Amino acid sequence: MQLFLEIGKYSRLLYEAIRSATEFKTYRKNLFSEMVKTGTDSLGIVSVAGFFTGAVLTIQTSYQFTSALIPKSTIGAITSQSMIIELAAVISGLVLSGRVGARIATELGNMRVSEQIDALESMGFNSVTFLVIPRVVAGILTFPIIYIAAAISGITGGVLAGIMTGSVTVHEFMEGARMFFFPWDVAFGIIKSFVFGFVITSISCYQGYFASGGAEGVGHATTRATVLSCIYVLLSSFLLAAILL
Amino acid sequence: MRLGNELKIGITIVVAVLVGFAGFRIMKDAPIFRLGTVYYVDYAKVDGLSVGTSVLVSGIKIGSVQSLRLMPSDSVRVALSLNIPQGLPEGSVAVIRSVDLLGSKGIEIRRGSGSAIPYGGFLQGEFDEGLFSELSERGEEITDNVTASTERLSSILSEVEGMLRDGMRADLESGVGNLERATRQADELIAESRRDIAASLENLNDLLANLEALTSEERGEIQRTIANLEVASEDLREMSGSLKTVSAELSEILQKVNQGEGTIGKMINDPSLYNNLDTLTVNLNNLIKDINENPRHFLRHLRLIDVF
Repeated sequence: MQLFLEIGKYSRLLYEAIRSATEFKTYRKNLFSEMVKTGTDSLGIVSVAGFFTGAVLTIQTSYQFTSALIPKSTIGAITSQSMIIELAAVISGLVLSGRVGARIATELGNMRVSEQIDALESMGFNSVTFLVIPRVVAGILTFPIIYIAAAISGITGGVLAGIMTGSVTVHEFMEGARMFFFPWDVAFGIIKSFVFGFVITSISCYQGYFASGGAEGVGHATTRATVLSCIYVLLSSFLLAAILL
Repeated sequence: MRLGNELKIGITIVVAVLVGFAGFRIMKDAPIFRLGTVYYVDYAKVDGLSVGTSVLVSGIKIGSVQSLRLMPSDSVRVALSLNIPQGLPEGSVAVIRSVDLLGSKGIEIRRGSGSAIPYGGFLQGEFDEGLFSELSERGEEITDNVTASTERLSSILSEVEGMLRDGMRADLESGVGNLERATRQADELIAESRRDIAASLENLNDLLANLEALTSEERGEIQRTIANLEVASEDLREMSGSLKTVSAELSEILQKVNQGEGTIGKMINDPSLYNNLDTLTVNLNNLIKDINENPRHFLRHLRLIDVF
């Protein structure tokens, strides 16, 4: 019962948001500040995460492939294609579940328990338009940028790790990477990042928006926002792979 | 300077788009900020070729396959994105061939020698059947052969099995049984004769011991005999020395005789004595004949006879 109730409340929140999505003027200012907080400010952590993911992937792949029959370029192919298809989007999604999801849930939860949302409503603002839409739209718009940063830093990290451990040269790495580079993979990654941006921000907004019970309730909402974001990022990644690949 | 949120976002988006575009071009192996040199090749078939396949000149990668398009005539138009500023000469041939054992394909360009082909021009295409495609093409034949061989082998094996089943097995078993019996008999024989053999060996030993005793008893006698033999052989040597001298002298004499020296030599070598003797004999013969026929003639003067 609780599950259906949650889904219903979540759907209604989304419905409200979409219904008022045309009131751009209301949330324009919030949108840009949210885009900076969600996108630009996250680039650093996402690049670091991507870089080390790529580096580890290269080193571990070259450790696993000891057969002389497998050309070294395979290492590059595996690293770059894994980064582009799956890891850049998922790793950045997981990192941002914590970074962005927690922030959104805490902000909205605090506003809720300190009755700021009620105050907005009483002043005649549509709180969903004012608070939820800019965050969700910012997530959808900036996640592809974050995906690009993660993918490029991941492949860079892979190349550098290959050079530093001496397991694969730049030429070999890029030869393999190019052999298995398909534009559709990039499109798939970008689609994924759109979805992840939406999933993380909307779930976090929902958890924060309906928080209750003082400081403890806010903490609870934040925890749930982070955990659920992670789970739904992985779930949606699986669904997208099953549907689109 | 404090940046506004709009500016930050703008910068982020522009940088992301540029970096993403550059990354995309790099991964596509195309020049980043200019159009690649594209050439087209028409092939009858392009098995194993895909977008991104390497294009090589003398083993060095100079570009990749950009697109594959099926033409209405069922040929395939392949667009090659190449990174060669000097372009390709007229008469260049793009050969699809296997680049490794597993049959993955690459395009190798054999340069022609004419003037440069303009960008977007056409190259000649060739498809080089690799070892594996040949194998896979002839796979059915090979499989048939293998199947036939296997069937044959299995029929031979079943024949052998049948032979073993009806009779051969009994023969083999009896053979082995015979062998076993023979071995056992040999074993028994050896066991029985062991005593005899031992006795024979003992006898032999005795014989040898006797022989030894005999030789030790008669040692003095034997030594003496040997000493005598030595003396005798010494005498023989001396004798043979004298004989040698004698024979040398004889041969000297004979030589002389041969050469007709001395009386004997002359006698042997000079036939005149013989001739004289011969003549004498003939004369004597005649005389005696004469005497026989006319004894009076000779006896006339003999008074004693004249009485008659």
